Amino acid sequence: MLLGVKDLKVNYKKVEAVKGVSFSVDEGTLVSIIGANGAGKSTILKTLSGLLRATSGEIWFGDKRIDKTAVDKIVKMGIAQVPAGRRIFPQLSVLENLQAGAYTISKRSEVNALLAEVYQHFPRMKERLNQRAGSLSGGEQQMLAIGRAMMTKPKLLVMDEPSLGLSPIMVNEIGSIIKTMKEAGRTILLVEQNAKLALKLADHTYVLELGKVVLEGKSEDIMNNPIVKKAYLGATESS
Amino acid sequence: MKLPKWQTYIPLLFIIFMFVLPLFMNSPRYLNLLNQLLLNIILAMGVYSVWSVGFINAAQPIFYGLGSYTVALLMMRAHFPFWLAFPMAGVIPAVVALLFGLIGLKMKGAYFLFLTIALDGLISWLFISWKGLFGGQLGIFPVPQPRIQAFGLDINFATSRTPYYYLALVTAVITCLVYFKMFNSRLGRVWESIGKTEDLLANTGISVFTQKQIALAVSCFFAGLAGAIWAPYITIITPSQFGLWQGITIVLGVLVGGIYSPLGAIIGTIFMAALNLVFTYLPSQTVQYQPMALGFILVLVLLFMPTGILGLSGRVQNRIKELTGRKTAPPSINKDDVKAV
Amino acid sequence: MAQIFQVIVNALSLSLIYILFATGLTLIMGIFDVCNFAYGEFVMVGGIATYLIVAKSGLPYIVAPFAAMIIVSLIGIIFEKGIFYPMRNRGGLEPALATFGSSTIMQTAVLILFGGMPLGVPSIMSGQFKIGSAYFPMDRLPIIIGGFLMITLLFLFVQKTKLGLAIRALQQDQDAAALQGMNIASIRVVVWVVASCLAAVAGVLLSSISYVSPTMGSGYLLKGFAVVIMGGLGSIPGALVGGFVLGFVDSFGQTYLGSYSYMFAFAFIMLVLIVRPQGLMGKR
Repeated sequence: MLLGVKDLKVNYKKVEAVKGVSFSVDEGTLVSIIGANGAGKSTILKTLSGLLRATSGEIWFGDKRIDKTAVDKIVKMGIAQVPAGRRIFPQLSVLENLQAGAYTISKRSEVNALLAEVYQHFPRMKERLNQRAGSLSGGEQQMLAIGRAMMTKPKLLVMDEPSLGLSPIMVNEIGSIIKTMKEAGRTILLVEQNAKLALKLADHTYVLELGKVVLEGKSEDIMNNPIVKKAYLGATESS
Repeated sequence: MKLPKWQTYIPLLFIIFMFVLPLFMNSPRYLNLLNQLLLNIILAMGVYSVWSVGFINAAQPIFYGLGSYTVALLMMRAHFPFWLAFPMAGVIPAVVALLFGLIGLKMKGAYFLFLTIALDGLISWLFISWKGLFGGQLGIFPVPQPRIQAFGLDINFATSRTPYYYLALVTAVITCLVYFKMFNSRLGRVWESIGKTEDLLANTGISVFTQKQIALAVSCFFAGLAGAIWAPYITIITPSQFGLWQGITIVLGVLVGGIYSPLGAIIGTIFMAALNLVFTYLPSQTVQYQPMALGFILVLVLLFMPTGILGLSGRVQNRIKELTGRKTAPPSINKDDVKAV
Repeated sequence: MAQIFQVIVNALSLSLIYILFATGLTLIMGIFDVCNFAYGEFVMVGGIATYLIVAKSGLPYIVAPFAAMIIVSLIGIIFEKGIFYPMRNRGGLEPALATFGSSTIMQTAVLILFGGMPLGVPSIMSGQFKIGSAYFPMDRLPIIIGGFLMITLLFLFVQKTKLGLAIRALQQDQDAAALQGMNIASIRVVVWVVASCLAAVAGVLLSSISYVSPTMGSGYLLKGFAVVIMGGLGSIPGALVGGFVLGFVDSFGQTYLGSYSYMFAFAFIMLVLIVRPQGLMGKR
């Protein structure tokens, strides 16, 4: 088990947004958490990265407890986040964004190796290294955000709503990128509103509702669950 | 901005107290202090109301000064009677405020603060440099004094300080009533949400900018009226009476009293007046330390007492209720959850 | 012709001092979103340090900038740890007021320690240098050289180093920067040190052409804010352009309009804000 979350409770803006959530991510797997807007997904991720503090519960990364660890230490330990809404640095160039991702890595050769890896996944980025990141299209910005997170040399890659605000074609493209990354052996935690996409990609899925896990299991089983079909997949299929 | 029940009676008692006060205490020294206190309360209420829409106006004394110069010049040059010049002294600063607000209120709060300081410099410079109109450093004197002759009454402001006191008191009470009325109306609720949920407000079709303009213009209107009382009262007005330092003292008063309630503005202004009184009893060589003392009060209040005196009383109240076993929510201090970055 | 040359030299040295001052101010205001009203006092402390080192102790001039940078940086760190960091979630207004209070405390402290009389510091260079029919006042030369040197160093630091990149990232998105493993608290301290060094050098250079006094910072603070607002908040290129614009407007205004230059400068800034509320180089 690479990441283990036990009975996590978090307050966000004085409201208990996460009411005792447990989940785990094993090395080399892709786990997804799905749920509607306001289910508490983003709050969980903010707590995971150290930007918010839990009121109770435990977070374990490998054999270390990290729920009281500072944000920068967590990144150094190997958890990278692709934040919701991408949050790239719009005034910096594409290359500078990637370099910002490699902030914790001091060896030049290592940075170059990571850059090469990112270019391999995203050849388009290599063509636009000196372009201002803010001028990229939505899909390209998402790729940059994923690339930037890869530059931190993570053991666990956490993605918050990578499909948000993208065109259906772009959603498919991001989906296939995530799939290749998983096949390359990366451990990924994917948090999505787009249940169809998440269930297609993930090995194991948790369904979150109003701050609680209401359902969990293998993605195929969840996909065939009648309630999930009606509440989550029906809506996305018609859209 | 709804006040707890016990707090609503305090202003009433306070007003009655202020009305009968001259009967017991009519030494000119104290009457003078009280008069200044009342005028400062009018300014402080204005600073508070503009603060509640997210801006600090450090140049409030400049608008007060505009009122003073307006009333003096209208009476001396245009031979207006006082009672006609008096409202004009509110209108002129309000118009200046509206023009200034066209640029200033579009900026973020901290830059508005800077612009008010720049405006203070500019208008002070005008007072000093335009000698033909404002009289330069020496100012204008003597400002004529009003006299009421009606219904068999003959109140001559030139012979006694007491009429000024009552004029200031009535103006202050009207100002406070107007403000409290505004704070408790729909307008007040709109103001409260400015700066917090402005995006939501924009959807309701209310122009946030117009609301900010109203707040600024009203505050400068009343500041001008206060200035119109000051001019004949002091009979000589000079640019140095309306400096930036006076403005900061008023802002400090609002802060010390508690920026989360209009009552705080009044309490804080009284506190600052008391502090000034204490300063006058100190040996004269400590004069140079006074700004330092005010600076320390400002920093320490901001760091350790962000809800001011009123917030302190709220906390004490809660503590008493806690001890007696009654449940109440503690006053919220931080507007946002503390981030752990 | 000779007079215009004089005015241009003066405008150039004035601009460089404005730029040193305003780049530091714009860094702080851009990153913390707070007006630092005590920043003028940072310059003043730089001036006082120069007075103590050059005029009082008779040490060589070159010691002054380094000593001033260390002293002012320490003050900057006190501001960060005492006011800005503890008040980071309280919006922009309240910390700005706290810096106002601090500014008063610093001014009064210097007034008590050194008195209100202007303190003189000998010029680094004196005399004039003849170019054709015009004279170049030598006391402006250190300002022009020192100013350009500091600005070049700042640009190299911000554009070419890892810490500079971190500062730019932090300015755009604090949470995202933290998610890249940047230690926000320590980068904030770096920002203060950089801004303090700029103010310190401005103070050192200024003290060689004008008197040092407790209130010398206030005038520059207003000019600095004007440059920052005009150039666009947080934009270093904006501070550069704004500093040159205000330096030249000021110098020519003072020469040709006399005491009305204050009015002129104010009207000019207002005009810029009406046309471009985000500043000359600011981004929406």
